Amino acid sequence: MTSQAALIEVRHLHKYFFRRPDLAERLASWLGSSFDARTVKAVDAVNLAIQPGEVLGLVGESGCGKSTLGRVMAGIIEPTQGDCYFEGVASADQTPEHARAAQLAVQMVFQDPLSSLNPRKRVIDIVGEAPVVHGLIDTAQREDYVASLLQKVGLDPALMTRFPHQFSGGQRQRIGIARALAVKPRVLVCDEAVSALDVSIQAQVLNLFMDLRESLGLTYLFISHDLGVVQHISDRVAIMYLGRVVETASTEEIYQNPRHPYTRALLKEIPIIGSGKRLYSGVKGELASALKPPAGCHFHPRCPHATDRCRQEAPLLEVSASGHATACHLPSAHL
Amino acid sequence: MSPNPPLLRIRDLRTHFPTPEGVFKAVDGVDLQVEAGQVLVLVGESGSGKSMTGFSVLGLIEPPGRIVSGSIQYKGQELIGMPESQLRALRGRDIAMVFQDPMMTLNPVLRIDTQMIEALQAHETMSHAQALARSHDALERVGMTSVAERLKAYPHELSGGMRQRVAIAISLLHRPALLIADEPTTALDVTIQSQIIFEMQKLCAQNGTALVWITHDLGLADAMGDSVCVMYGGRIVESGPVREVLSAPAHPYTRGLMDSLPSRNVRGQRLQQIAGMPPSALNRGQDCAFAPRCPQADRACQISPAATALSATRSVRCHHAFTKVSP
Repeated sequence: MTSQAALIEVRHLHKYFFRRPDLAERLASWLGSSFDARTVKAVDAVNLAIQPGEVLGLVGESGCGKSTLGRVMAGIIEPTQGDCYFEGVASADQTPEHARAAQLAVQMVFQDPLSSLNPRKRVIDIVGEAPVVHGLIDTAQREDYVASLLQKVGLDPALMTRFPHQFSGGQRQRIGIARALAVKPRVLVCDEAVSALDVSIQAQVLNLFMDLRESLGLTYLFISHDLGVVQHISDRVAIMYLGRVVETASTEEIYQNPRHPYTRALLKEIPIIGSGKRLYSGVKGELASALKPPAGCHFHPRCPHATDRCRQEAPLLEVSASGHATACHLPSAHL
Repeated sequence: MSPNPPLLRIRDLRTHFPTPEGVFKAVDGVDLQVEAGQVLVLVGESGSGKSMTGFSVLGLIEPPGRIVSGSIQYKGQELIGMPESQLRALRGRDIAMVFQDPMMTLNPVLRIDTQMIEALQAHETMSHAQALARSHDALERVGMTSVAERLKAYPHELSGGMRQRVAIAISLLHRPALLIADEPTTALDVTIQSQIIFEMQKLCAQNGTALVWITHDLGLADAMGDSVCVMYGGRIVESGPVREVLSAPAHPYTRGLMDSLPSRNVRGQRLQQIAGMPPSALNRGQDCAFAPRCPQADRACQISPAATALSATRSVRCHHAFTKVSP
């Protein structure tokens, strides 16, 4: 993948979660029997780069590791292995000042605004705390600063003394966005940021994201399972399946010419108005557990074209001349 | 209309909840009709009263909430005011419901086989072995694999999609004439959603079960419905055959909803949006509930419009149906 101008990039990133063995398991291992160590490979050798000003859509089903990847990129959790690069500098090589700047430059907007806002704090404290702590403004300026932020996200500044529960879902999401913007970030990681909202409110918040991109020159990692929303807002799309990125390409390319069997299946299943009444066929099989991912290509148990090679050997992400990367053993002509 | 009474006929249903702040009018004058074997999709945003309409049919409204007025007829038989014992005989056998969260159907401390056998024996006299065989069969028909193992499992041992399959299998055990499905696939992933819709479509067609499918997804309505009712503020603002409604929406809300979908906008451009937010069901007044957000609202909208028939099958509640102001 090109990394020349990437604003934020992860290379060969792994994030594993371990479960501590319980008493019975410790006893069993102490008595000499072996059991599997219960590791969830939430993110498994992922390379991903986002160019300045770009909106990268990250799509996948629940449990595929897309939120974990977003959190690692936002610096909320540490990767198990691999590095996160900000403006080409690996997090390990950053000076303390640069590390702090990089940390502030990537902010996150969460799915459920109510559980990500402190219910006992007023909006002015929620939004105004971080910029004061980080020395971007002093306490005297706080009220004006918060007012300008609230205006930016389409909320009435007079509401800044209220508590989160006094707002509707869409308004709370705007507070979450104002909080993220308060430290003047350059990248927003939006983790299912519109999924919990009603259709009519979803359009309003998506418009806000697009307006902010224009006015503040923001770069986005837009995580969602909603292919329609991602298609609308993204320049480029990455598809994840069980911890691995299986396909990345520009939005036009991926929606018109999907190559990975999983991407094709996903696109076939979105209900779109105008498609008319139809009988569903469905991808067969369940999502495998991340505790015991299938060997080889993770998608092979559900793939209609799987071969012996797919069952044994994990395909690597291969980039074509047009920049379309696919991790699949099958030549696309066969699909 | 056929001489036979329709399978389900709701007239002017009002389900209200008294609260210290005033009356919460969750359902406020709903009329709808479902014919045998038909798929009716009830579309609306959260708080529009679509789930409460479903709960009202099954008599599942918890006090202090109650059905204040209206009529719900199942095959010509009035359900409102029916004694609980008779309602219990209908519930699960003739009319079944699938919830968004399968754990509303399933008991977390009982094994799947226990729950399915109990549901069967509640309405039919049969031996344990017969009931077990029917349960096995029912799970196979919703596309479950390794059924014998799953029957012995507890709900927490199954994935979300599996649980929803079990809930659907239970709801279809007695081949009900009417199934009310309240967002059964909203919490599921896209690929699992399409599997479950596939199984439900197949089973309902086999059994001749009519389906009331409650959802907020207009795309889904188009893909599986015969007719659609769009709900807003506790009322049905527009209804009719799916194709007709979605190709030429008459109500400004339906139009606004459709126009705000990303698939109907130019990629990367601002989406058309409905301004404002959904109304509170608390102390709802006499005006049209959509008026504060409606670009066409005027003085006439201070009085809520009555449902007007546009054709034999379509109706709309709007003073300005089909009119569109030029920007």
